[in-house]
Amino acid sequence: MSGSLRLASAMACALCAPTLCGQSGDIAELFAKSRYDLALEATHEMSDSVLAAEWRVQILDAAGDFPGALAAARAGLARDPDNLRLYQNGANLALTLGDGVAASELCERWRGAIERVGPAEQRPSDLARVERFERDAAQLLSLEQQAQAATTRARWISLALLAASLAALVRLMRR
Amino acid sequence: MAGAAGACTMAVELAAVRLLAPWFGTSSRVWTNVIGIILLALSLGYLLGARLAASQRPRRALSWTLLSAALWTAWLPFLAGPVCRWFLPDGLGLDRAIELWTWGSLAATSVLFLPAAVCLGCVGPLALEIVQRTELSSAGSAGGRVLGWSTLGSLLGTFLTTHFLVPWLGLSWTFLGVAGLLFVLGASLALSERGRATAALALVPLGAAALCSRLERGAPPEGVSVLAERESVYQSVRAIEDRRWGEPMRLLQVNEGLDSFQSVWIAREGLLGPGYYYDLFALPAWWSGARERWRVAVLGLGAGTAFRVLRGASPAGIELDFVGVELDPAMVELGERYFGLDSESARVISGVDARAALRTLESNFDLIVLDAYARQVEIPYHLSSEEALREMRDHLAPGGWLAVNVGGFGFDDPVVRALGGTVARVFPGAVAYRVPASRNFILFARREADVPTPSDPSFRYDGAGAATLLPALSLPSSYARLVPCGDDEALSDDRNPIDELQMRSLEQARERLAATR
Repeated sequence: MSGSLRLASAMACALCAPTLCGQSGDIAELFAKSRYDLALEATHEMSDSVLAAEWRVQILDAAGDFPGALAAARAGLARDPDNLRLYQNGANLALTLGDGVAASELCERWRGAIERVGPAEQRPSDLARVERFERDAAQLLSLEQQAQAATTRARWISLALLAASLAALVRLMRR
Repeated sequence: MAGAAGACTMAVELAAVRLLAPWFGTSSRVWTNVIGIILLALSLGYLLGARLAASQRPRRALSWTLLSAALWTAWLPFLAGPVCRWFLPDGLGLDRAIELWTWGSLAATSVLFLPAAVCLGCVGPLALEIVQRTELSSAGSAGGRVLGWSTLGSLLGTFLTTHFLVPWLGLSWTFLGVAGLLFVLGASLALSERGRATAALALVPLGAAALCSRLERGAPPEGVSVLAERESVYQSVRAIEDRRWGEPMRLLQVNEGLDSFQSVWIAREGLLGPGYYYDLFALPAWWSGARERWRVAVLGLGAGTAFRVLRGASPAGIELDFVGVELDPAMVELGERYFGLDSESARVISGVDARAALRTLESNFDLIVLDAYARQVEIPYHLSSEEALREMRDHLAPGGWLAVNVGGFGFDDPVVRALGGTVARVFPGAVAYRVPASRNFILFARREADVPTPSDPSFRYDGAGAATLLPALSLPSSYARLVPCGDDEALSDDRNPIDELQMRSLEQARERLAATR
């Protein structure tokens, strides 16, 4: 397949960085040195599985493995359904991959998490961010719906025209 | 008359594929749909023509069918955009759009070309009837002459359309030219039948079509400008400049384009950054520890991006010796003009198929890059077969490299697996690397040697951009050693279902995506 501009340009959108705490120290250093292989290995040693997931998302995204990063975000959210960073990164990755369904589902859950656990002073800006992501997700969903409608339309029109042509052929063949 | 109608039929059929190409590409599915619909329309036209021939005034019926065909053909360039967009909405990525190509192109072909082809199909029986009535000849004699002229005309229309009309006049004027010829034939018949009013009536919409019936590809998004467009013998090619991401970037797109590109240019030579598979072509020289001369052949040169990347990202002091093969001369022309392709410092063979050209090349390349694509998504059958890979191996120096660019969604993607398995049958020790931030994989293979993985000491790159290139390839999920496939899975000259594998790849990717939600 020839190259994809959409995925290449997505590298310009940075993800939300993981929490920097004691456990992150070594990984952050390896990550900064671009030793993604060692950094990823180190995440498996972490006792905090959610923080490990945050780092995996970061590392896999930096290495350009967007599906892997999205899967890591989902795995982290399964353990911590109120993690705002993972929601943001997950939605961002789903948008990059053009998956409107996943993006809007993550946005919805993200919005709920902000309302439940988000710091009150950051809530307006967080909600504004969700809204921006939701708009992009809605655009993707609308495209997906258009694509589905176009498929149905194309199928029915083709079949109808073919059937009409064949009927006309049969009719014309009768002397 | 029959000859001209035959020529017009072939012109419409061949140009039809090109008219659909900006939306649906020119895959074998699109060709099959166009040929099928035209054949259906012609058979309808023959039977309808036979009915009309039984009327008292077949000349008048013939003039009507010719004028109707002329009018419909004249408006095809104008109608193509709205009709195709109805069946393939704008804004879809290549991977989503591919699924619509089969039904979308079938529907668009039916709506756009069925009426004109039915009218053209009527010409044969009507012409035959007229010949028979005027000359009082036998049905066999009249039929033989009409068929002879019609087939000769078709032959002429075939060659003229592909080699002259489309490349020189462009699509819109090809259709308008065909419409003009049909109008002249129809009008002259109408006039001989005292149908001056009919001819005059048809002239108005035809004149309007000549003024405003043009193929519109839609305006590029804000920040993107079209530098040049060409209708080559093979495809629609265009060079665009994208300024949306800071540094201006030029992209070469063919046919439907969508969100994909065939060649890339940025102002400096060297690595392009994550998302651009060309960067990986620079690695074999580093992994081999090349010091002196490095002979490279690129099969599917496009506008020459691989040359620019290698020039800027190869080890210092290395002498690069380039050969590039590109089937489409329009790509090379745009490459020289907008993509920094310097045909003086490299040997560029254009207008020749890569496999045929390979046989004429020397047999001591250090690197052969296979980046040939037909219709955006398919590596051509004859270049992805085991036999072709063996020929490539025979053109490599001992220890020489083959790098194959292939699209897919994972190491278990049907296309990656089949092609990777075939590569491994010819080159044991081959490795597939996933290109960061893309849908591409590069299959690396070596003649009589193994390809390094990140744990090998030779896995290094010290050129510009080193901070991003190798780290992204060093993850366990970024590479896989290729396993030879069995005889039943191997791609060969005899059996190569790469077209089907491509569709299966998309289906599998969508199923997997749905399963992860």
